[in-house]
Amino acid sequence: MWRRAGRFVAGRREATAGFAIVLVIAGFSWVGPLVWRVNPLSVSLLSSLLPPTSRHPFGTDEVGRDVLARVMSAGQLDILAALAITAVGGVIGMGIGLAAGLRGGVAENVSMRLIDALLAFPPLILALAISVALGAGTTSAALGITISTIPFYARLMRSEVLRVRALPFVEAAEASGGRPSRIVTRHILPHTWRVMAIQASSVVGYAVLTLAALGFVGLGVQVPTPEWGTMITSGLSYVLSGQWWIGVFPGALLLALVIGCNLVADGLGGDTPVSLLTGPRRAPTPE
Amino acid sequence: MPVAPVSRPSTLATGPALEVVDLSKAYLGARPRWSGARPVIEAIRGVSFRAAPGGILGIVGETGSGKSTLARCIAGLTQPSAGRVVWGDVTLTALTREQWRLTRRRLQIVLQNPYSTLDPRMSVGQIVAEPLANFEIGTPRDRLEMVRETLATVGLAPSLAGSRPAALSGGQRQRVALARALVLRPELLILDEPVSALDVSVQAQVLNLLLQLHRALGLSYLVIVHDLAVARQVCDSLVVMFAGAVVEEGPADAILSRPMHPYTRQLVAASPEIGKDRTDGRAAAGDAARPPGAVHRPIGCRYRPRCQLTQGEPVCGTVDPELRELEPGRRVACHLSPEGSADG
Ligand SMILES: Nc1ncnc2c1ncn2[C@@H]1O[C@H](COP(=O)(O)OP(=O)(O)OP(=O)(O)O)[C@@H](O)[C@H]1O
Ligand code: SF4
Ligand SMILES: [Mg+2]
Repeated sequence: MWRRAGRFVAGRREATAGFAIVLVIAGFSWVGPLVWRVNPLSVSLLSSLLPPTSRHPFGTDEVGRDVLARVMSAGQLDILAALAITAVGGVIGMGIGLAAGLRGGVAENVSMRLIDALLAFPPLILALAISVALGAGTTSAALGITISTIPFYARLMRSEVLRVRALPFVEAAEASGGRPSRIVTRHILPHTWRVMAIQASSVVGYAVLTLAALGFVGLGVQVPTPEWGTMITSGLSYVLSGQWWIGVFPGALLLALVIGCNLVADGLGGDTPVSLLTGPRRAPTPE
Repeated sequence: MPVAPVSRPSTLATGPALEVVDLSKAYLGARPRWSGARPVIEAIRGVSFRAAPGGILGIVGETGSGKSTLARCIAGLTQPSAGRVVWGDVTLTALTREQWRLTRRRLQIVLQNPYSTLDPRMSVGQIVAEPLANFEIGTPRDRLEMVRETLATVGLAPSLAGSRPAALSGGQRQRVALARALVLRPELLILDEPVSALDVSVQAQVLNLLLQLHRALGLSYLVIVHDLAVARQVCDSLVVMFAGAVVEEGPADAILSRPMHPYTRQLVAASPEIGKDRTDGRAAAGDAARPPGAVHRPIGCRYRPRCQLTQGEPVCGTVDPELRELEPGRRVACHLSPEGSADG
């Protein structure tokens, strides 16, 4: 088992590196608070805007909250929200794409035109518009981002299903007496996983970034809950006066997490030889 | 190479006869670049023949002549646009999807290319066991045993059951595809060019295997072949196709030793193993001229643009020749054959 894992890693250095980055940030966010037992919400105006020292390794913010504790707590929120967005958007989007790719006809046309209409908006604008409509807050921001990811999954899934469905072994499976449901689950879906996994890993990065962006413009997570995007916003106004640590630490973590996710996405699509049957490699990103 | 005997009652139950009646299949071609409707491509048109039970019927014709389309229509993998296929007392072309599924237990097809018809994510054992699972035959343990037995039947080591198709050679893959079809013990096996994707050295082995299996299992074969030498080796009757239609039909020996239709004559003459003319068979048969575009088919005989027999007889240019029985068991679609006797 370890040897197989070793070979898997050797063939996918980039993805493994990306995964390691994500894992380190997740460990930092969840294990960190067990070691660094400081309340991320406790205000202490007397110790506001302190630079990094051993008492506050990442310094304190404008109301004296410990930036390290906040960054870790924010990491939990951002990672969980990104995973939820990725999973929910993925299930819905892939479901739509699968149905469209399998059934064809009017249903396919209608659903794909709707998807195209959604795709006409840049995803960030779409997420922004939906969360504005739903009102500021973590849930509405997450919902907006989720909806904005659905078209990418649906389009890709549909084209994957159409591609795989036309492969000769699917016809052979029918000739062997396979029921349609079994052909879909055993022969079509397994051949779409890889491309969809690439898509999902890039969506995780997009979700974190967009959640932060919505927080940045005041739409997403509301104060005082720590979130990287809102922390970056509030840190921004102190950069010029020299208190760089408020915004830089959450910014660096956000950057690292997004890079990690994109490395996973690229690595999965990249260096492993893609068999003729799974077609040319692509790493679509909702950008 | 010895073939492991298959446990089957010694009185071989041969399936029923297969009757193809006026079968046609049209596809819509690509939309023209500028404007206009999508052209209709008649991949096969008005194909009729009968395959005797227990026999080996060969379908020959150059690339694009509609052989695979014909096989797919018979095997129920595409819906023909017209005509019917009757197998014993079952009209295959009238079956519902689920009825077809159940019929597949008795009628199997080995598709053209063993490189792409095996799911690369599955092991050989899983591939061969799949039809059994589809029809809920036996327990998983029984299936394992049946898979081993069938792999042995097609000359594959049971240890290969754990391999992926990618690890196999072309000949081995074709044997796996064959095992997948045979594991159900079908009565009729359709084989679409079973050897043309293989190295010449492997071709003979696979052909021998097919012949031995035919003898041992007592099933009927409908086999598509590209190469007349192969046709002579394995088939007892032949259907010669050109541009989607049958041009000649009859016993293989008779056709190959005394071809009547000008197209068959050209094929035989160009085949290095059979004809006297030892030029490259493929080149002569395939590249002398493309078959007249199925889209803009000329009125009259579809073979006319390449025909060396016609002297510009008006009938060739106006009437599409029907199959006529020229000798008992031999039918030819040509106004002038046998040579010169324009009695059509
Ligand atoms: N799904 C399809 N859609 C459109 N045209 C098709 C389709 N399948 C086959 N055709 C056309 O029908 C004609 C006959 O094709 P077919 O594959 O039956 O020929 P074939 O005799 O099997 O050739 P080969 O020896 O190359 O396998 C060709 O002109 C082909 O382009
Ligand atoms: S009908 Fe005429 S054109 Fe056609 S094959 Fe016979 S002789 Fe040739
Ligand atoms: Mg073919």
